Amino acid sequence: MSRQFLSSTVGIPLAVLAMTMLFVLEMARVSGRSRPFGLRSATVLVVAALVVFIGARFMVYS
Amino acid sequence: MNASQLLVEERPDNTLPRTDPVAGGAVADVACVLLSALAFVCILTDSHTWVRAPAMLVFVLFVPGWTVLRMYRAPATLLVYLSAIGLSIGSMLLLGEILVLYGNWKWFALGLALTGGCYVIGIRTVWRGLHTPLDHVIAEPARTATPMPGWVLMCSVGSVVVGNSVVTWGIRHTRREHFGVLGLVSALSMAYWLGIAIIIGGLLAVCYYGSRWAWFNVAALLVALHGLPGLLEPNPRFSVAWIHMGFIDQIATHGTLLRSLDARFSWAGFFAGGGLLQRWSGTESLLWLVRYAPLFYNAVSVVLVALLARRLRATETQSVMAAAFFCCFNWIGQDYFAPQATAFLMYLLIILVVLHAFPADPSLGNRWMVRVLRPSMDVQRGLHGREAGLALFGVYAMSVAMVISHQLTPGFLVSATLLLVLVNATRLRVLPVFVAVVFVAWLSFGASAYWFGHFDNLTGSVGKVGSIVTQNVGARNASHAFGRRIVIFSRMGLALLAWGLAALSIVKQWFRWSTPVALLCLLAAPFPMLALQPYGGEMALRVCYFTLPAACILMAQFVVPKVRTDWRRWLFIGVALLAVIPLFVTARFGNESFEAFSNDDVVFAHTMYDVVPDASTVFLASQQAIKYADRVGEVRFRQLPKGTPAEVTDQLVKSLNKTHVYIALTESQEAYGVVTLDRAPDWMQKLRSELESTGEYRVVFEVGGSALLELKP
Repeated sequence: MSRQFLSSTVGIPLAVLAMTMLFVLEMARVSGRSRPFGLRSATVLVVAALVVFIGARFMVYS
Repeated sequence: MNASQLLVEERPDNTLPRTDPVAGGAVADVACVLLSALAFVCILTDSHTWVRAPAMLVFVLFVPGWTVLRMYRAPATLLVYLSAIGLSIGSMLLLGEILVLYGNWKWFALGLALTGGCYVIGIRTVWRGLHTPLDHVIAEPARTATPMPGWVLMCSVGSVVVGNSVVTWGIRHTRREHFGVLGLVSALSMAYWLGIAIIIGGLLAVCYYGSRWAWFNVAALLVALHGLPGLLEPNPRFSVAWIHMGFIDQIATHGTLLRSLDARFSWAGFFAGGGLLQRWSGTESLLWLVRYAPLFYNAVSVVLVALLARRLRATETQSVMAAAFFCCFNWIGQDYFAPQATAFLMYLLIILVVLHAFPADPSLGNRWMVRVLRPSMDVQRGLHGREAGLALFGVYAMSVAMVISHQLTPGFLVSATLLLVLVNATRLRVLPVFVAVVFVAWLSFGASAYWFGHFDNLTGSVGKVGSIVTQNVGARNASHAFGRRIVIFSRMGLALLAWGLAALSIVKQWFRWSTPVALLCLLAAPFPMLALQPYGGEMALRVCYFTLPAACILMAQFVVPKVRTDWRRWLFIGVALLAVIPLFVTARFGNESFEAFSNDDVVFAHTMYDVVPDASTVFLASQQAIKYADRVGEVRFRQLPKGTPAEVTDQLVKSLNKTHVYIALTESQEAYGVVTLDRAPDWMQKLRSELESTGEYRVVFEVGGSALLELKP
């Protein structure tokens, strides 16, 4: 990943999306409603993408 | 008879009439509406009445959270009141941070919107309460009254009144400045100890009969122990609290974060929230909060500890005693006006809500885990549906507020919630992952100024437990003075005593196949943090702090009988508590000789800020001084280099680069050198003489034993 990409603001909406999906996932659990199809897999993917992005930032800018 | 009549007829006697305003929360609803209106008017008119600051303080601490919770029909229980405090503080931190980052610090508009919004929603809640049909108002089941001698109430009230009077008399007859190497313990009058003994005697007598009036004694003990410096000392104590007040003033005045000055500006939620309060209350600073902030933090913590104890199978008497133990064992001193104290409250509240609203039965968890841990069954039902959603939203919002306000507490929260999930003490599964993701995201994007270019330095200590412990314990044990050793050993002794009794409690319950696994998790969760970072030599203190609630509850379960028993056991508890109190005062206020500020210190700081121009650098012989209390961006502070006076002057000349350079030598710095570095009592006078003898300095002014020297240009 290039420095330009890592320093862009793309990570912030990705982080907000990951946080929202984690919250929705938990909300579906505790409210007893059926979980939307594919929500857990999508959340795992988004969180993984965020972790990779942040990890790359730490490595590049440390 | 129609259906509604049937409902009323069949309802048991616990139905309250709608006119019971306290139990139904109507009084709080109306008070919040009035406070919102008052706050709105104060902000709009910028009035300078005395009532503005206290009204705004109560508003930001309670009203937004209460308004939201009541909007969703939350019942008026103690847990909801505390949740309202947590939500209000959390919302202040979030709103402040958002405003300073993205809102151009438009505090006036936000103040009007928030107070106006709370007013409108509050009016709607009150209106709805007035129109609630009688048969929808259901009270908590009535408590069965236990027979109790009439003198129990007299004993509680009498011991509190007499004890506090004697404590006050003792404080008035205590030497108020220049404490010795042992701190406050050597200065306090005998009357103080007598007053404490009376309060504890009353507490135990009332607890013996299982009366709720014991809370009265706990409150008195809390004030006598944790309000002591505020009542005794002439000025708000502790240099870091003054720094935080200055950081808040920086944000309130300029609406900007000085990330290059201090790492704390990268986690500025607390300071931004404080900035909002400062502007809304119309005061020049928040120094008026610093003196009694420990009392507030400990009071809320004590109630949270007691609620946690009740939730985790402690009897009412045990929960009261757990609260009393928390008062007597919280020597750690992290409860001053600071982000970590606020984050600690949120941590406790989140854990409490998680265990109350989303419980699970650990005895139905992993079979291997059940065999090893032998957990007791948990039959708590928790919340479901819309109520569960509201509680979950509150927990997640407070987690985010905590992450943006303090760098360490989220780690403790991740550790604790992860353990609770692993042992099946909660039905939540995602919370630890969520907190970890928010923390890492904030570190990466919100706090990049903190780690850019030196990430390896921050992570270099990971896993080096031995080195971190040495830094945390050994470095604090540098002095060889006997008095100082007593202070250090009293701290270690109290920590080991709490952990030891907590461990014994767990072992005892393990043998009975009823291990309190949630408490075990909360006790064990902070320790992995020791492997991550020395945190400036303070990680061991933080670990101690976060284990304390669980340790106190376990101690109470161990030593306090579940049923009324032999009075000699209570006598033993009383004697033990009385023995612990001097240890607590020694440990808690052992640094008072340099953490307290004399009138000279305060006058010196004010005069210094009056005479020192912008872009100045002030060197300090130690960091135990009032600094960054004003003009945070303009006047910088540095540590005075080591060496001979000529070498020191050479290094200062190098930093002269177009700035004014000063050396501030104050009484609190002098006391710090004497107490912790074993220096001679006149070391600062000698240093000053040596510096002056170089001919490179002029004395700008002197106040008492303090002096400000300026390096001649």
